[in-house]
Amino acid sequence: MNHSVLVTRPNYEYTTRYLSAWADKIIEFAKQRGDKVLDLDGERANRKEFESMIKRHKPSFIFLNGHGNPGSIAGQANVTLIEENVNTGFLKETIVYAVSCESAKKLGANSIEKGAKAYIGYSESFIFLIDRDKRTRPADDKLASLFLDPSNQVVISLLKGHSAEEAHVASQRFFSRNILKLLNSQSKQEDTGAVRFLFWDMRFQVCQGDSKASL
Amino acid sequence: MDVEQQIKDLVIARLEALPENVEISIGSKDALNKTDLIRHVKDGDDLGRKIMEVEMNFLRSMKEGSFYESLRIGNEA
Repeated sequence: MNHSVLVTRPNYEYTTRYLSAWADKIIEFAKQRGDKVLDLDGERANRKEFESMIKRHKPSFIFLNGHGNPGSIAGQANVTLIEENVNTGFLKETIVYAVSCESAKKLGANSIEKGAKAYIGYSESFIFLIDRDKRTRPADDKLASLFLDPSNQVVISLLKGHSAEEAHVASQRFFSRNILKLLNSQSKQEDTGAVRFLFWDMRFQVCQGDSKASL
Repeated sequence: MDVEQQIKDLVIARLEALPENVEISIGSKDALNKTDLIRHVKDGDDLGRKIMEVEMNFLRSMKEGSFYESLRIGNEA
């Protein structure tokens, strides 16, 4: 079944550049499946376009990327794109996945209150490691992939028709397998430094709302 | 030496063990290198405290067993 997917991917410093590059992989995956993708990249990741796209196209899945805090997520240039009790009503009837710090603390619950079916996000900072030597080619960064591939698994599972809870669990498994990979005897000692951050992200990814909701 | 200082020292030692080319994206700031992170930990600011919290979360989870439980999830089909 084809879905309509809205993606916000600001791109103005290294963190958002990485999130944008990894979201691009999802966009390609979705397009190959025949899903309709509304790609708000760079300057288009702003509140006006976000609200307008949702009003016009009524996407069933919203994939938010960007800096965040407990009550809001930002778009380009760190300007607020969605905020609790301001425009979370636009998430009504959608499933949301937010790769953003702490948004599950308040924004998630508020989104559910305003009618979102499910909200998968992080109740603490979302942390990932970067290989400085790969900064200009984020998609090739194997260190970042330890974190961002498990994150992308949420979206892949949802697009394949799995429930919010199943997508969350699939992502948890991916994080866990990456931790195990780093702990095996063939890993370099310095790679094990990533383990605590992987465990952090895994632990603080949460699924709110209807766990059985699916696209 | 008080407990907080011991934790700071532990966190700094762990950060120092990271390779030079590794940067961390954490919080609302752009990616930081280990020198920047160590400075934040020494300063005890919000970011420094967050890094210490990550370490304590990890150590506590090993002590309580939740870390090993999380590895079990990775082994499931």
